[in-house]
Amino acid sequence: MSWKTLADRAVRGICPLAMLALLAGALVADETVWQTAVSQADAPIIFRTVLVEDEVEEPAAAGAAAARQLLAALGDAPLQAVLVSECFEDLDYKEELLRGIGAVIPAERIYGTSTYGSFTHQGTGGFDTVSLLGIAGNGIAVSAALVTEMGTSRLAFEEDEPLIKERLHVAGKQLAEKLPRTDQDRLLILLADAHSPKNQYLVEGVQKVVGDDFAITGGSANRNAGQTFVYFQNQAYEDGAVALMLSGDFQLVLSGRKAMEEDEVISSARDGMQEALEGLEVSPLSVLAFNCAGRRGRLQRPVEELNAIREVLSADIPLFGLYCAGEVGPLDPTEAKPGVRCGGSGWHVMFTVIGR
Amino acid sequence: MMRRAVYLLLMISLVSVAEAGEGLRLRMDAVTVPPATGPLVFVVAHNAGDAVYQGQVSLEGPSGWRLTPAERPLELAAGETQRLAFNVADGRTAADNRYVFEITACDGDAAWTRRQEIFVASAPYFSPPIDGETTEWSDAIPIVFTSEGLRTTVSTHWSRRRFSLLVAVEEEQLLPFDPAAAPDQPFDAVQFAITPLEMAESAEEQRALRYEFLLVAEPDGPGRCFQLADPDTPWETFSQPRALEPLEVERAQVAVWRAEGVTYYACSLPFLPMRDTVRPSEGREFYFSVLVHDPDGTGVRDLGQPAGLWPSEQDQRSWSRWPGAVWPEPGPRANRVRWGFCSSLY
Repeated sequence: MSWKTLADRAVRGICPLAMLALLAGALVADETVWQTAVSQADAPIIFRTVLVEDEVEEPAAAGAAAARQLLAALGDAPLQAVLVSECFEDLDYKEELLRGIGAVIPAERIYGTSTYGSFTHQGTGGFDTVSLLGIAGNGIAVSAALVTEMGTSRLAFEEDEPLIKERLHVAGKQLAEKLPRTDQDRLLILLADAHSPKNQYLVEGVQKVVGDDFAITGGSANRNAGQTFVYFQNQAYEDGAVALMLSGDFQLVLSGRKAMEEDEVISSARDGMQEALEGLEVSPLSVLAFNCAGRRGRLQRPVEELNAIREVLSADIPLFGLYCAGEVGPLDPTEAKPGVRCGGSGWHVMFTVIGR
Repeated sequence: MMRRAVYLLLMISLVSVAEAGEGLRLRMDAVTVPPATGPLVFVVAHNAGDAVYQGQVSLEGPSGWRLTPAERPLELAAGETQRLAFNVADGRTAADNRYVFEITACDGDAAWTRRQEIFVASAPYFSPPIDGETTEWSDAIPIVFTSEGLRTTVSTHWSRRRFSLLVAVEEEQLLPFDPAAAPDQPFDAVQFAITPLEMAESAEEQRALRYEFLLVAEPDGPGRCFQLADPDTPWETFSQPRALEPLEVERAQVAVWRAEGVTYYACSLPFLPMRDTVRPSEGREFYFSVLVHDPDGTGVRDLGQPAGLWPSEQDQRSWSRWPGAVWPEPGPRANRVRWGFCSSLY
């Protein structure tokens, strides 16, 4: 019996041996696929965030400090996965940062992407900052998959759109097909070296597998030369995409807003946050916010957008925000396609409120 | 002669079309991120008259572009300037980085139109080596303008640590900076200024409020970079020529070389001294401009002219004086071409 078959049976509760094997979180034979144990209905779900700025050019120490802070904040809850949003310049600094995180947290639980910065309730961070989202508790499960060599990182959208579309449809479909699935799947987080407007085609590829009405959010990696990495099990990959599936007995509401001018950037963030919170019928546990770096560039003081979010989001609900090169989630009404819940675009802030 | 005639015809057709209405002036700002990313474009309107202007401004982009909204209302008090934003819903990158827009102002029964060619003025993220080669500059967004038939090409890049500039100057010969052999003699140079947006809005006149540099060739050596001003440099200092040697930027990387009738000035400056006021980050804007000093050829070539800055935007405080410079009359435009930092092109 292959590891993949074992895993499939485990998540369906067919094979007790497989259940045991996966309870501690196991790597499936395909090294580009991973999953934790299945979630338990009444067990806790805990999210925590940290934001650390490296002011002394010691990325490994910053990574380790962030990881230690995160574990302390999570307490005894079993860690399922960690999402990394980092903005260190060039691969040598990024690898040092990952080494620091990996010294504290098992590598197989570390996923993420290079961004233009992060924001949490602590504030906003740009260069030389790392933010971590810890996903913990037996009430939530995580599976992950990786695709590489998508073949689009050096293609220009205006010149090669048909080829980009074809290749990202294939990559998105392949990525989603790799993900181990359960009937408790709620949210797919997509992190990709495919900036806006390329990201729309990757999302469409994923939707060929999960369907047009499935909740997807995510962001595109920093598109700058030499910075375009996604992270899978604490390893950096270019021209690739990572998908994380969050599963469990929880609810979520997504919202998306587009804006390109300073005042509208601020007001749209407030409105989008409010819409998502008001749509949730249970208590919020955490907020994911995939935001556009271009929107931030319109602001004289980026913290003003964060302040607008904080006007409607209580400080005790963890906020994990990333500044990206493209966003995935519910598109602004001016861009949304009828019957399709989520898409890929730019100039958006995409909120996901997770609650139970 | 033919090239000059073509140049004159082009300038007449694109620039002289209109100052609209009684004192209403209209122009476009440069686009600060590539068109395909859906940027905003801005019409700058100034009321030079002595009465309130009320009307509508519409903007038409290059063929195939779609701009929203189609028009914007405009009310300007006497002496007031406004920037009107139009969203590029569909825009395509032009290989030559030239985009012709048509601005129309309507005031009751009267309408005025100005056609203006603009460019994308943006520095993509990258830190090219300063090694006497242009190969690694291929992902920049070059701006080409012509002065008396001779081309000047300006390219910029940025990273968190460096600001990089390449200026390619078509000219007959290169006059190097050689104070030992030829003191006080004119020489070729590239002068450029970086101005934080918030400083540009200041009414203060006694400080430079900009970072300003001069690139020169040497008879033997890679070239040199001098810092003519920082934001706190007082007027009495930058308005008078002074010795350049003490102003050399220590951590600048410079290469000046000639190839096939073109002089290339490349430099990379450390960002650290500017980072508090010009934040290196995608989407950030600042003002930038370049003067090419070609004293034995075209004289001063001013990037502010193809950028469409009004002659009324000339400001003698915009550019520092230095020994050997030959200044035209009237002087160059202000150093205020809107510029941006953008992500790498791919």
